[in-house]
Amino acid sequence: MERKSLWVWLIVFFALVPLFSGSDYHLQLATQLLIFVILFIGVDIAVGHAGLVSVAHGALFGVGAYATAILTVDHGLNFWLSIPVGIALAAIFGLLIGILTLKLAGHYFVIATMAFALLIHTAAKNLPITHGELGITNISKPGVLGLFSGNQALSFYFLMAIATLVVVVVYFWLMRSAFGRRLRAIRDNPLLADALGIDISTAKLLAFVASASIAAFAGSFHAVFLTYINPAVTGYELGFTALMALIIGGRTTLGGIIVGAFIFAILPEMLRDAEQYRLVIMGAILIVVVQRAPAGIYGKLVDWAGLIRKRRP
Amino acid sequence: MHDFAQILANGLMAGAVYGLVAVSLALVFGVLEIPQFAFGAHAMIAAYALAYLTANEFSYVTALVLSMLVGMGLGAIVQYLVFEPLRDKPHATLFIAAFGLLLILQGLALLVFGPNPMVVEPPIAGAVEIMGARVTYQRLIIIAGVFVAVVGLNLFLTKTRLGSAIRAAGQNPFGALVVGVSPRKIAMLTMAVGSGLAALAGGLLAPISQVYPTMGDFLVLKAFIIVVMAGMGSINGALIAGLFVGITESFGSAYFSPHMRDAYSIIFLIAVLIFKPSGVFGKAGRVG
Amino acid sequence: MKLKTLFQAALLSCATTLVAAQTVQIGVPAIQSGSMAQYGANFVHGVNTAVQQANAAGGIKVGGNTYKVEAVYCDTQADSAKAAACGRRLSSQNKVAAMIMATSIETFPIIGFNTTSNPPFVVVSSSASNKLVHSDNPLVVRYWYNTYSFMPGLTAKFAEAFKKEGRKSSKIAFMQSEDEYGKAWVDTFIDGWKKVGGEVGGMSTWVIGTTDFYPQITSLLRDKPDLIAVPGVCAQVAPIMKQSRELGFTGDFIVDLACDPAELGKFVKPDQYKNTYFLGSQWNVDSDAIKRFKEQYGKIGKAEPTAISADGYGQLMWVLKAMEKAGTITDAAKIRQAMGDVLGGDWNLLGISKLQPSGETVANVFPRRFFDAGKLENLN
Repeated sequence: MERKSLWVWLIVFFALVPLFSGSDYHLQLATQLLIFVILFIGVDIAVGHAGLVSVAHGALFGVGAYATAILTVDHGLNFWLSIPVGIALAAIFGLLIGILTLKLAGHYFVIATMAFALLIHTAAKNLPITHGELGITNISKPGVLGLFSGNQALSFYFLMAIATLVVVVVYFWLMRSAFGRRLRAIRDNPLLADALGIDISTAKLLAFVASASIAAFAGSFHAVFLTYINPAVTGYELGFTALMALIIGGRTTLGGIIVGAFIFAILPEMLRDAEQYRLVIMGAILIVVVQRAPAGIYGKLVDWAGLIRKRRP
Repeated sequence: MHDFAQILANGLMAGAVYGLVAVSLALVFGVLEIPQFAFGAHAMIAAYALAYLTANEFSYVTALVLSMLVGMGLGAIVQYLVFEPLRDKPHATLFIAAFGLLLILQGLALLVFGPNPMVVEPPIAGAVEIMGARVTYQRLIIIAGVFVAVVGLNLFLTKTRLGSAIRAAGQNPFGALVVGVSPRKIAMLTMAVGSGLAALAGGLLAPISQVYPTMGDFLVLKAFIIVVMAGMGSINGALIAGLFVGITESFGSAYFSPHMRDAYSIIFLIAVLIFKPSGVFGKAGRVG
Repeated sequence: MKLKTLFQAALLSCATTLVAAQTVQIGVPAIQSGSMAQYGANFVHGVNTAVQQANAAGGIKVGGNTYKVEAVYCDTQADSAKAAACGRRLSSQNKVAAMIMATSIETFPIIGFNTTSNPPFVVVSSSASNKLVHSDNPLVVRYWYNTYSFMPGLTAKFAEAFKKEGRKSSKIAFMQSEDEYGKAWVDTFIDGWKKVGGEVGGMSTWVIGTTDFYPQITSLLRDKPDLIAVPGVCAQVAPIMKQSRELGFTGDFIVDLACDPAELGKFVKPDQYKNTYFLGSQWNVDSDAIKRFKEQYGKIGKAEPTAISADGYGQLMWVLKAMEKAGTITDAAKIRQAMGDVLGGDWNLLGISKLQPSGETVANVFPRRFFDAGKLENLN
């Protein structure tokens, strides 16, 4: 995966973001970026390492968001306690989806995950517990933020940065472990992996459940970040976006995940002035990247960096 | 009993539209293995073409034919520019490219026509009562149109040289190559035909609905579910599965709950996945 | 010598342009693309009409200075995360003292930080949610018809009207659009209708942009309702009405504020919606102010304005009037204070009134019946 120096750079960069910008707007974007980074890490475990191309993770993200929103607003539960509930719920959904669909071949698996995402979305629109299209409002931010007086946007950003760090550590630990190696073996050559005695279905299922849990974790933060959610948070668009971000940014690498999150969270904001052409530009970027940089932009950047280094005398 | 006939009629019409889009998808998915997520947008572009033409004094039928040609042209161009360079790439990549295409087409439609929907008048207004069910003439036209299109497709695939070449390429791409069938040309032709069918669906639907940039999104999602339900490569199976989904949604909404309308097809999909993952009509061969 | 005078003249003209170029900016996070773009477009055209009108009159006069009015838009794409980013951006970069917006999607994320932002800003919203004014936020006001407040009175009026008409049966079925306005409307109507002893039929939902309503309508018609309530904009109400008639429904329709008979006439022939009940408010009273608005709007929006257009117009005008009354374009708290006093004015096309400390407002909504082209009767 990546070199340790990248780690250091990343941590320094994200710690210094507030100093560079200071504006609440940039902090908002950076915080949203981090929420997506966590989500995409979750998706990457399934898509990148295990080769399970899923678009259901948007809906699972929504499950985490709704769990937190419902428990904190309608039942007065503490934010931190709502997180494990969200994770557990998403893990159960992940388990169910996995059991039903993991034996399907490539094309079918994706579509099946899409169908399940649609099911979760329909439930969000119709179950009384979610308030339907009215959504859930006035979700209060975690109390811990009050400890840091001053800028609310700044304290939320740091909260998110810490949460992201935790997830990144878990991600690296998991994916560098024997479990991670097993997943990649299954992804690259299932027949060989099977011959080697790897329990394919269990490994895949575990990967899917882990990725679902991380997606829900991100969702919980999303709910308190925006203080409002509606069924759109379980929509299939986010699932597609996550998949695209990984394909475009690059799979199995944290750099790729961050590039992907940047393209999907930050780039549209930067393209605001080209408002009317935004859709066309985004679509064109997708197609061009997929044709020219099939391993993702991050991979291309690393290649170029390598070329530059080679050219130095 | 009157209710039953009406519900059945509703389902048939919705199912016919689903089926047509599913057939176009099955063709392209089966032969080219391209998950053409943008086919809904192709239908939308054709619907806009139809709306534009009918607003400029063209008759509905002429406009329909012309918009199908527009669809076919779009398909060929799209194949050449977007998917051909991605030959043999993994599925997820193709999916993303299709999604990028979808964004471009929707963005273009929004730029050219604006966000307000366009209205198309049906060629024959009014309705007729068949066995207790009220059916508008446009809905009859839709069912007839789909039927004709699918029969036509079958004839094309089985009785013509080009059609046979497409089937050959679907069943055995290498073998087809050996025999001198150019994969590039076949791919463009297949995508053109599929796109033409999607365009027909858009044109048929236009008088019933309004024409707006995101009108195809919903259709294509259902179509994917239907194609998986039917099984890889089964074109006629896709039509039957489409009709089945339309009818089930209609009965489910009427007798059970109208809110969960979208969920019915998914529940059936899950059932199919559990009991026959290769699809109801799925077989080893690719196109049939 | 001549050079000096020339130079002075240039400087002077520069100075006057500088003075005239003082602008007041108001943030408008709006839905400008995506499947709900046409709704956002109406709102935006309304805002633009207000901006043009204000500037044509020389701008607004606050505290002795004149300011040109500028609405700063930000496309939220009907996405809460993007709306929150819009809100932060408009506040950080344009330092607006007020923002106006249409739906909950933008409003709730933004009121999560409008008081703690630097500078704080007032939020005017036409969200459908009852919770808008329950968040103890001192800088939020509603400019729209809150269904939770007018519905009990309205359903009672309907009950009365039906009794007067001598209706033997008035079972109402509902076609609810899958958005917050549809849900709030139907929820509160059913609640109110049940409380006045009315009979409730089936309820079907539909996604905005749907075209084939046959399954939903067939399901509703199964238990033979006398009326079908179809809240939504005319462009969506029209196909529902058409298809209901196609399926043999001979009863009457109840339509919400967002669609009025004049506009509906563009989509459906009058004989298809004869006897339909519409909801009226001040927007439907054909005052001079409304006539003028329609004229000006026509030049900008190139279409007939809807209630949503008047909403955008009203929200911006409200902020401007409050700024003039408060004598500040930067102090959000003062602007909010002044808002209650300026509601009486021609610009208030929707007839919103009685601003409460919580930010809630009141509006009079009454049923009216369309008998035929030109014959409309108010049933208050």
